[in-house]
Amino acid sequence: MKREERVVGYLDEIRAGSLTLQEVATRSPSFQCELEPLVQVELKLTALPKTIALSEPTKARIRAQLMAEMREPAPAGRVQTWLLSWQKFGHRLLQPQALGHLMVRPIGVAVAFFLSFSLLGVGTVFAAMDSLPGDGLYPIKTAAEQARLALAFTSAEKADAYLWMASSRVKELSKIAESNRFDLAAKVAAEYQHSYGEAFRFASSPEQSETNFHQQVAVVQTDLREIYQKAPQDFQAILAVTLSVTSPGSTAASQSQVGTPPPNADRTEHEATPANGSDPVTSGLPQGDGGKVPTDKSGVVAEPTPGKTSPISSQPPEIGVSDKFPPKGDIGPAPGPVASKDTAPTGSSPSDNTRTGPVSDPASSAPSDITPPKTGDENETTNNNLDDGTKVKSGVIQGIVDRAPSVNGGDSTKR
Amino acid sequence: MREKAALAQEAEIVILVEKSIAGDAESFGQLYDLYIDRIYRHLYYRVGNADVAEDLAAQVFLNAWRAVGRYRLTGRPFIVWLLSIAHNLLVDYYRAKRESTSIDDVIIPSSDADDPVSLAEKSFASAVMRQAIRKLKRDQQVVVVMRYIDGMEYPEIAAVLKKSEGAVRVILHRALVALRGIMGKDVEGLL
Repeated sequence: MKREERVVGYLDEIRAGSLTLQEVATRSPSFQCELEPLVQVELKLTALPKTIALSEPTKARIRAQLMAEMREPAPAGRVQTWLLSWQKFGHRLLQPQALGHLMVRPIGVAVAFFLSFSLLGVGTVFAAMDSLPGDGLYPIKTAAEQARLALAFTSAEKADAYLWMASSRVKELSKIAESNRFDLAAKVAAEYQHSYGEAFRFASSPEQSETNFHQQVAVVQTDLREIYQKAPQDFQAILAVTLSVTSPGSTAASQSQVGTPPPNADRTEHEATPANGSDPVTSGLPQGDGGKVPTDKSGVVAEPTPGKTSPISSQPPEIGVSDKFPPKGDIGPAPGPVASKDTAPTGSSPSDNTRTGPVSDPASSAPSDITPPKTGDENETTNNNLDDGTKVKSGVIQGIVDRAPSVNGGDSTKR
Repeated sequence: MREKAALAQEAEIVILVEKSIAGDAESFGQLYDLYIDRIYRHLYYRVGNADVAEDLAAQVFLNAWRAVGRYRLTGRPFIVWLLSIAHNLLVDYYRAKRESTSIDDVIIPSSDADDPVSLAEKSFASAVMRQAIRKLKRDQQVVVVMRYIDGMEYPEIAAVLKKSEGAVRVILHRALVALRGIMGKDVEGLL
């Protein structure tokens, strides 16, 4: 121990009262001369006022400022930023092309699983299930969804995972409707649309028949329909625009507005033949048929032009069915006056399947099985067609009609 | 009895800290109520300016709130963590000032009625001592303030300064020796 340390040690003992200067002088005479003036300095230091403090009004003012700052989304943002960064990290890990080797994928799966459940805790994840976008726990919820997706190795499992995500979005829409937080509706509806489309994209795999995918689809659609029917008109409008909702109950001639579907649907009207004489457009939503998705075509019409004939589905709002294969990034409202009648592209070349997502290709055939997922190129083509009305085939009238995914029909073996 | 009360308060603080870590603003507000005076006092003795000390104190708690999610209970008093933030803020503060203001130019708060330090200013001895502290080297100054104003233990000071306890004791010894010299000169000058 250095001499300085010993001096300070003596000072501490003297200050504490466990030692006196005389005792130090007796024990270590060489320290006495040095200690005496330092004890005096220390006495003055300890005598310094400890009552220095802010005035109460000043403290209150700073506190108010601090609380105002704290109400900013800093903590949540901090958590969210942290979680989102990990989410992005997980996403990157899960991208085989980014890794360059499929063998690394299990590591990503492990990381995603670990992050979602081990770090955060199962309880936290479950608590997050009730969160809405913008809530502090919402990133945990999406991380858990990504973890489940990461653990889905087969197409059927992926379809189930995406459908689960779509179901979560439906529950969120329900809460949004209850809490009148309509500002969140468009975002959640768009995410629902994406997840729902992805579910059907992967549902084209043969092993899908081994799951209860079809029943789950019916449940999701039923829930969404109930939300839509019970929702205030403003909320219905948001859902209608975002999800290209069919205006049920309205005839082709009378439908002039998206998002105001009457609650009751007429199956007969729904199967009305479009003006161009092509195949009738039907809704792909389950209509009390045991929860099974119809095997025929579906129709969802968006933004039809008033006064024109339209192959409008008269079903209840079949939100999302038309978005069986929504092009990525195209999750907004369906294109306006452009309309098409969707027929199944089975057997046709990819170039024929230029209508994806909310817009169908009226020229393509309509098989009763699940339409194979469209590629990104196809989606791009679709968008081009939308932008260029001249490319829309002659069968297009108005509204956006899509074929419903038929996953349980007699042709299911084609999958 | 007194120990029981202290333990109870410590437990209460731990709960408040845990809640703050979880993002409970109200709990953090209570920690503010508990520690604002000590933080302000520390800063005041370090910078010697009531306004600057007030601004820095507010900033300490804001920074603490932003970082409290990463705080981990280690058994060390929460105030030590706050003082670490204050110390880092002061380092930045002095760096920003680039030492353009000499220690001698640091304003000693006047005795206006709004200044909470005005009463303390009446004490000549304490005024001389505060002046003397600000004339110390930076590391000596912080050790003296932490030891005699904040009442921190050596391990806590060492943790804040990222030095060994022995090094802290050596710095303190040199500070006391320097203070003795400074005070002697100042008192002679003033008289």
